[in-house]
Amino acid sequence: MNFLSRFLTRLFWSGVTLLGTAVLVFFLINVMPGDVARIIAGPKATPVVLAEIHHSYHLDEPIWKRLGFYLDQLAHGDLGHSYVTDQSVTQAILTRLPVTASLAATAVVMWLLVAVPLGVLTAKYRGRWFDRGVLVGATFSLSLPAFWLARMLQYGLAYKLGWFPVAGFRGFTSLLLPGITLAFLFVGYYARLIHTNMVEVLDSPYVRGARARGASEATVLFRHALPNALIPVVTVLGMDVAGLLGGVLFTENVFALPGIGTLAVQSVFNLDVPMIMGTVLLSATLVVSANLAVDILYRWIDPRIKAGY
Amino acid sequence: MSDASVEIGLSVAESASPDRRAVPEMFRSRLILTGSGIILLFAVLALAAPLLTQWHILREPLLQNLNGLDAEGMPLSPSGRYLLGTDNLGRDVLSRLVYGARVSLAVGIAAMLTATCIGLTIGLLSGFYGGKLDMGLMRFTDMNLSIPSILLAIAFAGLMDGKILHLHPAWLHWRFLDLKLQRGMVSVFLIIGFVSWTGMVRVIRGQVLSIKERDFVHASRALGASNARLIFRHLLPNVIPTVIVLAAMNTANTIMLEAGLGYLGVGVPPPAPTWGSMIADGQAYFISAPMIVIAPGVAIVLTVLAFNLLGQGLQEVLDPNRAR
Amino acid sequence: MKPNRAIRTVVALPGFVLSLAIATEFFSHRSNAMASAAMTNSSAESLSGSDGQPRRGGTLHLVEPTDFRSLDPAIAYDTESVPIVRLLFRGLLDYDDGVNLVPAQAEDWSISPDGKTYTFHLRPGIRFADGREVEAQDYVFSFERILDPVTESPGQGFFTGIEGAAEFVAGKARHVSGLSAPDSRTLIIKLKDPQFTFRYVLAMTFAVAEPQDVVQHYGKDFENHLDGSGPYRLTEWKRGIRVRMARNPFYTGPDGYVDAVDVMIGGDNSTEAMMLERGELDRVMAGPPEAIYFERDPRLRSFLVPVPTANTDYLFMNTEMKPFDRVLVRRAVNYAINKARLLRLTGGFATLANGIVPPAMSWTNPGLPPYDYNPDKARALLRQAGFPNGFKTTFAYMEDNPIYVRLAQDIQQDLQQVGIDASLRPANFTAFDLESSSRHQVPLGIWGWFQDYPDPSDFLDVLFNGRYITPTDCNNVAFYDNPSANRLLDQATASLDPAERTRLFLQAEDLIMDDAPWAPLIHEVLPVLYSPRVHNTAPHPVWLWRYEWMWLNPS
Repeated sequence: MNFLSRFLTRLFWSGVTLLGTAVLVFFLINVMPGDVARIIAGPKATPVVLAEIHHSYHLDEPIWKRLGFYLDQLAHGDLGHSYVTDQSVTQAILTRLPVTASLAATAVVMWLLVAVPLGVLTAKYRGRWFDRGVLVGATFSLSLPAFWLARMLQYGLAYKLGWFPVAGFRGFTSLLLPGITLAFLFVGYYARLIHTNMVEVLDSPYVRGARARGASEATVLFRHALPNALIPVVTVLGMDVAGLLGGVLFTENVFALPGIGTLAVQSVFNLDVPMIMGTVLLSATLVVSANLAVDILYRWIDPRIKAGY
Repeated sequence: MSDASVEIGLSVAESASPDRRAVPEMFRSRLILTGSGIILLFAVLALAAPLLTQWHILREPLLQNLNGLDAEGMPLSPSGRYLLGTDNLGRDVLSRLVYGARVSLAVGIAAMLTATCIGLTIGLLSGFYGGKLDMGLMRFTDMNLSIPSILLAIAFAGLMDGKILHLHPAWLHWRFLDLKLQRGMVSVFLIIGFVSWTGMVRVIRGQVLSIKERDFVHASRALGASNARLIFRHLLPNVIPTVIVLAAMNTANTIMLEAGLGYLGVGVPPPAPTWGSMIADGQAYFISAPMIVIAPGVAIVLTVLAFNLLGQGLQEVLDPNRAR
Repeated sequence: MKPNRAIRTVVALPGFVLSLAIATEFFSHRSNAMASAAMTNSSAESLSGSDGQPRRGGTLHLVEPTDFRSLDPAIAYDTESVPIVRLLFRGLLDYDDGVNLVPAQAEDWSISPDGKTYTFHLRPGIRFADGREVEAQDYVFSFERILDPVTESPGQGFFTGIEGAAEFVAGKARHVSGLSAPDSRTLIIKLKDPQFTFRYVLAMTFAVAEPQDVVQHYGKDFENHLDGSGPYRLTEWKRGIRVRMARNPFYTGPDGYVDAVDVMIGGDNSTEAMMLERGELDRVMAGPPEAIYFERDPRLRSFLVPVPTANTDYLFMNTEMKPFDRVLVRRAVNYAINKARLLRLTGGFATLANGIVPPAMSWTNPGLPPYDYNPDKARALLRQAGFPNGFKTTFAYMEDNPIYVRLAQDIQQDLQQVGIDASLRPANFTAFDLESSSRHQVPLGIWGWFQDYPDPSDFLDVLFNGRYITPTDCNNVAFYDNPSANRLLDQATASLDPAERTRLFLQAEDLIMDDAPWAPLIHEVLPVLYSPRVHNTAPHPVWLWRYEWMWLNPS
């Protein structure tokens, strides 16, 4: 199978996954009873007003027809309008996406900058106290609740010490502490991942050969071993987009960042169904496209890998 | 938040039964001992909480007490009377912390069991039968994987507000089929269970794929063993060690999710003390009484850490090749 | 106006139950207290810089936990959005530093001797932010827009006294006959009947000029393209993220001090207080916990400005329901409540209420019957009323407001002391509002009222005139109907003589308090935190916050 047809197959399945997600979420949310019109009009609305809303939101149609309307809207890139503010969901998401994206990017860069050296060194000093210490530290970082860690760092580093802005969004500096919070949550996992891969690569004949040829330790570690050890990290990064978005949700809320996470939480509180579905679909799209991108990237950096499905 | 279990695969045990040497080794693993020690401590405290209250060692966690507030109605800071201080309603934080362990552990473990059942079933079926079933199930898993579990969980939990779901057509008045969507311990653990099984599926499926090509499986099949027998006698016992490791790690995730839902106000509803909601309620008093927020956070970290350590340790013991 | 400020305190706490309160705020078309405050000996001046020399420049950083529903002057109607609308739009009349009306965009104005015709001449050269000159026709258009049912303006009721308004609202007339603009700078408003308070209506932010061409071009979308004649103009409004304003280059009135106003949306009370202390925000509406924290820290005490509001929180007794139809019972309840202890429960952010009209409205009434805390007298009155063993009743309150919750629990104990067994029934804003405003529903409950404009009629006439009682949606939650009180109130509202009005209103208040349909409890005091770099923070008795008056230290 050549590259193009493989890519098209992947693209097709990504599309199917997304469509399936859209339908799944639509049913799960719409099967829930409870009168949307009441949410929109308030508990005092008259039956006439309710009927009007039912009509204008197609709530009086059978569910499969509403699904049709919904998918038709989606096909036109329209995610509908908020029940609460009447704002376009697409608009709301687009104004917030840059904040979330730059927060996520900041965090990824931060944790890779720490995880890579940690992973390399623990692989080199495997089994020593340093290695064990990092292992426990990594497990600890995996065990931190994002919302709590965010509060603690906000209190200590921003409020007490004044090293960072406490909250709000006024440019890049506002992203530093939230980025550190997220990086904290992921750095341990990635340090271990790189460690495991490094250990494998260091044992490989390729590296043993390099050593036998008399390459210096630094050259072996960073020139020969590390690039190979980093390849699987790319996959995991792609798969972690979902986890990252989960962390973003809490971090944004604590630091009052106007991103997708804050939007998602607000819309759940307001029972704003179009907004909930919009944010859920957005994250699904991000995850699926990240996986697709990783798949392609992976094949590009490591052509030995054979087609999966 | 990262779904650690995704990448953790175990190499398959060589024989039809799990390694017997693993058991004594467990008692030598410091990771396992530390992890299970902390879990045991919390479990004992959680189980004994009502007794401790009865013996007046702990205060009633729901009791709103004007003596627990100062003259201006602010929570008290830690003192001999209230070891961890009081919360905004004058309730004893220590007591709520201990009672919170009941909720956290119960919901976390129940959700883990739910997730394990789903994940194991799908993984086994998908790996064993392959073909179209495998394809369908894996697509379904992918769809679930593509939504952050916390987002899905808050979406569901948020929509549960006492509405009644009629599982029967309108003309049939089968009230016993009506389902009241109300947030409580059960619905919260079910929600968490339903959003956290995906990590397990791929690992189990991978293992099943490799085990079913083993000689002893082929031999058994040649001797006319039924599919059910193959699954329950050969495949299941061989994936059990992996399931145990994944389950331990998944409990860490489910407890974290429970805390997250509680923090966002869509977990087990008040006045039940949960660690997440304690942090949420305490935030309003954060600058004046930080202990209300710090204490439950430490409890969450310790519990989640314990399950993660346990998982790590189990992995080292049950699968020494992979966990280096 | 009914209290909604509680919702603000509530927004800070993530919680689903609480979110319903937020939702309620969003969906309810009626809520929205437009609270106002008095500057009675405000401590704010202590914050002003030592040199006291106002300085131009800088950006004022404000915060709102949830976005403004609208900044369209026809729609905006709550304590948070009105001061922002005031930056973007200006009307004919304004208040001076106190409660006296002064002309704003009017060069001069006059009221005919019969009190029915208002004539305004606009100042020359006032312009909208897009440069077009403001014309009298814009005012006619704006007032008609508020009356038009399509606009769904919460201020519609304030303008229905204009001649021809009823016909216009009913769709029988294309224009309001009482509104006319004989030339581009003259506006004439004719009222159906003399109405003393209409002058205050003209100072509300509803009564501003909106550019007819722009509004008609955008229709409902005008709120995204606001164009007003205030000292500032809207430069950015990213929903749910931030609102930014900068100087209006065409503004000709007295300039604001700051160059820009920046409102961040989001955050919770605790975070906001931390941001304020670190200088990231200039003003924060605090909750009681933050306020007390700042008050207790000698380093931070000066940040805190308690703002007395023209509000009264009260215990109402439904005079149509047994046993509160007996005046002796109602008086007994007044004597049974230990108000001094209630005050402590608010953390000190309140003053005791003895009468109906808040003192923040520059109102004192020496003739009020004294209801001191006296449980023995209460018991005696109950005996006299035929309840020697007390009675059972239910006691409703809105649980969204933590202060109400505490007051209710405490009052329940006080009532218990004199033999009244009141079982508590908490409800959310919508449910409580619905029930308490309907006849024969709530025998006893806690509620509050905020001033709309600085005139005692806003409390006495609106809340106690029995002629306005309706089966549902009634503001007179005690359903108090006393013909002599009604007569006094009618005379007072019809009168155009300020001295006579005051005399009649004082009499009415005495009479009502003697009949005791309420036990007034407290007047709330808002704890507001200001960064020390902000000056001129003294709250205005009507507007509360005049951001254009605040000035900042150089950074």
